[in-house]
Amino acid sequence: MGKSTSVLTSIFYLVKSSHSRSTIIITITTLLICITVFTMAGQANSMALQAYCSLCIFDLLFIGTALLSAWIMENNNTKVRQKMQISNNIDNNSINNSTSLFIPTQTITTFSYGTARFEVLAVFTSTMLSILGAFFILKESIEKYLEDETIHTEYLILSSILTYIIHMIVIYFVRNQAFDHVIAASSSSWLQEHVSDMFQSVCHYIPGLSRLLLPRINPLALLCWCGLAIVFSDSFLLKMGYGHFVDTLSSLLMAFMTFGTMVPMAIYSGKILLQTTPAPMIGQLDKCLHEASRLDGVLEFRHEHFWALSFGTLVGSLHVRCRRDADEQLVLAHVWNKLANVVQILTIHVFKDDWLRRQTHTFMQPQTSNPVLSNNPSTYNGFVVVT
Amino acid sequence: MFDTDVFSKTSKTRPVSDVLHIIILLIIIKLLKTFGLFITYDLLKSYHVVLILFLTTLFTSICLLFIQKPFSSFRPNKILIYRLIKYTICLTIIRLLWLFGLTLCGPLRTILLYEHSDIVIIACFQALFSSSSIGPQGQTSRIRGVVFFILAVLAIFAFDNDDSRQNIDHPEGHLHHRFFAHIFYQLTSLIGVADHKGGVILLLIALFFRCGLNSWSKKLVIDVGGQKKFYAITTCLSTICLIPMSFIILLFNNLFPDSIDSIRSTFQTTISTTITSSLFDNISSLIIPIILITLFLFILDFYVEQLAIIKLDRIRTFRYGTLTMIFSSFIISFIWVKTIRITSNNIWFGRMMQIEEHELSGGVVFAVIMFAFATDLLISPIKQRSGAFIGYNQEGVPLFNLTHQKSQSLLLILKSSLRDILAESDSRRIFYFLCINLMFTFVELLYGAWTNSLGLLSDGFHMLFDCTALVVGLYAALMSRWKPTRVFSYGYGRVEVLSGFVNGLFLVVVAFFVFYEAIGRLFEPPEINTNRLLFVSVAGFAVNMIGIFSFSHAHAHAHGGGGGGGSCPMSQPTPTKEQHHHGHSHDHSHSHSHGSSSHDHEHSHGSNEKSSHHGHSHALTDNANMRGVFLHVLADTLGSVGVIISSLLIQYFGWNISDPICSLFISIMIFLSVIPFLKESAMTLLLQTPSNIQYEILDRILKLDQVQSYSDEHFWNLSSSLTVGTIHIQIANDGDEQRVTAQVQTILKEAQIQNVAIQVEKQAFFNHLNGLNSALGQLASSQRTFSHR
Repeated sequence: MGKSTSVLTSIFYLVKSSHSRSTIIITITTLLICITVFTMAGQANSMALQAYCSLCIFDLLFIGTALLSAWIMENNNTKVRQKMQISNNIDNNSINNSTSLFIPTQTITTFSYGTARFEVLAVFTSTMLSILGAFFILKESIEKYLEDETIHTEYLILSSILTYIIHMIVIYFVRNQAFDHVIAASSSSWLQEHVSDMFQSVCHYIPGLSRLLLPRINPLALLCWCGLAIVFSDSFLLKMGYGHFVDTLSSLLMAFMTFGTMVPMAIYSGKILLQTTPAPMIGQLDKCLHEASRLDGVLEFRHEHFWALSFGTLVGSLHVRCRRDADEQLVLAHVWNKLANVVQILTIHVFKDDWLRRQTHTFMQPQTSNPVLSNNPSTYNGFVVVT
Repeated sequence: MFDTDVFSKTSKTRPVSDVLHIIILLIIIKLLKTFGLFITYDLLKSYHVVLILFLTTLFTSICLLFIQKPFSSFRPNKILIYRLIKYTICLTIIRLLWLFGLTLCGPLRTILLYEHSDIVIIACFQALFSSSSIGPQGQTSRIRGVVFFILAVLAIFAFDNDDSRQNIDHPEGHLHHRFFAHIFYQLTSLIGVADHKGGVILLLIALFFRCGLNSWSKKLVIDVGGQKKFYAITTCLSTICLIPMSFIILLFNNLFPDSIDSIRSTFQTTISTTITSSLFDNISSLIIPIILITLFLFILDFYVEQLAIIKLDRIRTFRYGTLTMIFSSFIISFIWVKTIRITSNNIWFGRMMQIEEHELSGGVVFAVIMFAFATDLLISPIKQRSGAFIGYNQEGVPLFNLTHQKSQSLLLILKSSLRDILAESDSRRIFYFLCINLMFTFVELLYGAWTNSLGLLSDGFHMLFDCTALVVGLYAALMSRWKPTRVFSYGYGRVEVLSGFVNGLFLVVVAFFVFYEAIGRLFEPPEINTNRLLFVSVAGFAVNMIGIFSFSHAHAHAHGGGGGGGSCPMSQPTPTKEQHHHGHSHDHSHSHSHGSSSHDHEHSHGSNEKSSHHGHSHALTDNANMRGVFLHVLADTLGSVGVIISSLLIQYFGWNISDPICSLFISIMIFLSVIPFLKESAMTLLLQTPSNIQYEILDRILKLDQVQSYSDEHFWNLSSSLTVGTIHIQIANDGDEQRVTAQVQTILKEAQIQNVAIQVEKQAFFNHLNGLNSALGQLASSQRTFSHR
C-alpha cells in the first residue's frame, strides 16, 4: 500500500513539475488520437491502416518509458542528495533519517541494485509488445484476406497523417533517455541498414546531400516514414481498383518493418535482462583481467561474472585464488584497483587453498616489497585500530 | 560452387573512353535483338513454335558452318559426343520453353523475365541461400537486389492487368500450337493460374534452367575448345534434333489441316481477300523475318557479346546488355502497341489483327524499374572477400582462412535437437503438446480448404498463431540447458524467465486485440454461421484439455499436491456456465500463489529454518516458462469455451450479441489471470531480493566473531531454482579472512544461496586503496563503518 501511494506521489510530482507538463499534454493528445485513429481503422476495415496505427500504441508505451526513466533519474538524484547529506552530517553524528519522497525505504531493500533496471524492462516490454502486436497483425491480415471484405479508402489518408504527426511529435519532443540509449547502442535494423546503403549510393552521385542523409537515422522515425509511404501507396492502389491483395501485402510489409525495427532493440534490452556481458565491454574487461592476473600473489580467477545492470552500468563478481602466503587485503586492493574503473559494482572473493593448514606453517612475511608500499609506508603504519 | 571467380576478374577494368565503340556496338546489337524478338512474336502468331525454331536454327547453323567451320578441327570421342547431345537436348527444350513463353506473354514481358545474365540469377541464389560467404556490407545491397527482383516478378505475375486478353482467346486461341497448348492449358487450369501467368512461370523455369545448364556446361566448353566452336556445334546438333519434331508437326498439320486452315480462314474472313496464300507471299512473310531473327537473335548477338566479354568484362557487358534490352523493349513495346492500333485500321500484310494486344500496365512499368534496380545491384561486384587472417607461413607470406563455417547436415541437427527435447520432461511435454496442436491445426486447415470454409481456415491460422507461444516455450526450455559461456556467464537459466515473461506479454496482446474486436462488434454484431463452429470449438477444447491436463500434472507434481488449482478445471470437462469457468481460472491463478505461500507458512511454522528453505526451493521448481505455456493453453481453452457458449446461444436463442460479450469476458479474464504471473516474472528480471532472504540470515552474519558490519548485500533469483548473492563484509583488523568467509559461506548455503561471492574488507584494504589512488566511490558505505568506529 505504502509503495503504491509513494508511486502516486511521484506521479503527482511529475504532473506538478513544469518540465514534464508538455509530456502530460502530449500523453493526453496521444491517447485521444489513438482512440480516434483506431476507430477509423476499424471503420476502414483495412489491415494496413491498423498496422500503421499500432504505432500510436507504441507511442503510449514510449511515453510510459520516458516517464519511468524520468522517475528513476529523480530517484537517483535524491539518493545522491541523501548521501551527500549523510556525509555532511557525519561529523555531527546525526544520521539524517528524513523520509524521502521518491524512494520508500522498502524499495531499497527489495531492489538491492536500485531501480535502474526498471527502464531496461520498460524498453524490453514496449518493444516486445509491438513485436507481438505486429505478429498478431500478420495473422489478422491473412485472416482478413481470406474473408474478403470491402475496404473503405476514405479514412486511410486522414488517420495515417494523424498517426504520423503524433508519432513524430512523441519521438522528437518527449525526452526519453532509455530509448535514446537503446537506439544509439543497439545494432541497426535491416531497414536502417538498407536505407543507409541506398543513401550512400545516392550521395555517391550527389555529394551535397551527404550531411543530410549520411548520419544514422532514428529507426522509429524511419519506420514512421516508410509506413506512411506504404499506406499512401496502398490507398492509391486501392483507389485504382487493385483488390485486397494490395492491402494484405502492405500490412505484411508494415508488420515486417515493425519487426525489423524493434527486434534489435528488444535483443539489446533482453540481453541486459539476461545478465550478460555487453559485447563492447568484453575486450576492455579481458585486458583488465589479464593485467590483474599478473599481480603478485594472484594464482587464478574463477567464476568471473560481469553483467550489465542497466544501460551503462556494469556489475561484477569474481573469485580470486591467491597464494597461501599472500596478504589478502593487498591482493584484494590491487585487483580491485584494476577492475574498479570498468566495473561499477564489484565484489571480489579472495580465497586460498587449505587455509586451515596455514597455522602449521611458519608465517612468512611477503618478501617482495611492493613499490607502492615502499613509497608510502604510512599506509602500513598509519593504521588506527578502532573498536 | 557457382562461378564466384567472375567477381575476381573485375579488378582490371578499362576506362570507358577506350572501349566506347564496343559499348555502342553492344547497345546497338541489343536494340536489334529486342527488335528481333518483337518480330518473332508477330511471326509466332501465325506459325508454330517448333517450325520457327527449326528454321532459325537451320539458318543459324548454316551461317555458323560457313563462318566458324567447327568440324574442321574437331576430334570427337564417344563421351564428348554423348555430353554434347545431352547439352543440346536441354538447350533445345529451353529454347522451346522460351519461345512458347513468348507466345503467351508477349515480347516485353519475355525480355523482362528471360534476358537476365547468369550472374544476376546466381547472385540471387547466393544471397538467398548462403549467407555466410559474403561480408555484411555487400550482403545488404545483394538482399535488396533480390527483394527488388522478387517484387518485379511478383508485379508481372500479379499486378499486370493482362486479363482482358485472356477472355478473348483463352479457350483455344492459338490453334496452331494445338498439342502443346492443350496440355499447357490443362496444366495451368490445374494450378489455377491464368494463361499469361502460366507463361511467366514457364519463362522463369526456362531462365533458371538456362543458368543451371550454363554453369554445368563450363567444362564441356573447354573440352570442345572455345565458346564459339561450342556454340556452332551445339546449334548444328540442335538443328538435327529439331528435324524430326518439325516433320511431325508438319505432318500433323497436313493430316489435320484444321489448325492452320482455320487460322487462314479467320484471316480470310476478317481480313480482306488481298492476302493470298501464294508461295511468294508466304516466303516474303516467313523467310525474310526468319532471316532477320536469325541474324539478330542468334548470330550477331552472340558474336558481339563474345567480343564485349573479351574487350570489356563480363559484368559490364551484362549490365549494359540487360539494361539496354529492358529499357528498349519498354520503349519499343510502347511504339509497337501504337503502330498496331494504327495498322489495325488499314490492313497490313500477313499479320493477325488482334487489337487486344499485351498492353502496358502499371505492374509492368513497376517491374521495369524494379528489374533495372535489381540488375544494377546484383551485378555490381562485391568489394572484398573477407578471409580470417591466421598468421604468417614460414616464408613470411600472410595466410588467410577462406573456408567458411562447416555446415552440418539438416538431418543431423534435427536428430540431435530432437534428442535434446526428449531428454527432459518439461520440453518433452511441450513438444508432445505442440505436435498434437500442429496436427489438429493441419487437419483443420486441410478440411477447411477442402470444404472451402472460411471459418475453419481462419481458426486454423489462429491455432498456428497460438503454436508460436509453444515454440517459444520449447526453445527456451531447450536453451536453458545450454552450458554457460563467456557472455552468458551465469548460464542460460534466465532465458526461461524471460520467455515466460514474453509469453505473458503475448497473452496481454491477445487479450487486447480480442477486446478491441469485441468492442467493435458490440455496436454492430455480425451474423454468424454456427453450423460447423460448434464442432470445431469442441474439438479445439478437447485438444487444449489434453494440454491443460499434461501441464497441470507437472504443476501438481511440483507442488507436491499443495496447489490443487491445476487439477480443478479438468475435473469438470464440460462446464456449462461461463461464470463457472471464470471462477475456475481465477481460482487457479490465485490458488497458485496461495498454494506456494501456504506451503511456505506451514513449513516455517512447523520446523526450523533449514527445512523452511527447503520448502521454498520446492515451490520454486515449477519454472516461469512452464507457467507461461500453461497460462497460454488455459487462455486458449477459455477461448474455445467462450466460442462454445456463444455459438450455443446464437443457435438456440439467436442472440448475436452474445458473441462479443463472451469475447469481452474472455479477454478480461485472460488479462486478469496473466497479471500476477507477469508481475512475478518481471520481479525476477528486475533482480528483486527474494522474499525468503530473511534478515535473520544477515543478523547471523553480523553476530559472527569479528564481523563488524556488512554492506552491498545483493541477493537475487537467477532462475526459478537458483539464487545468487554477493556481499561485502567488514571485519576487525585481527580477524582471519578465510575463516569468516567460510562461516558466511556456510550460512548462505543453508539459505539455499548457491553462487556466492564474499568480499572481506579490513581497514588495511582502504588504506591500500588510498595508497593506490583508487576511486572509493562505490565503497563509501562500507568505508563508513571504519571511519565511524
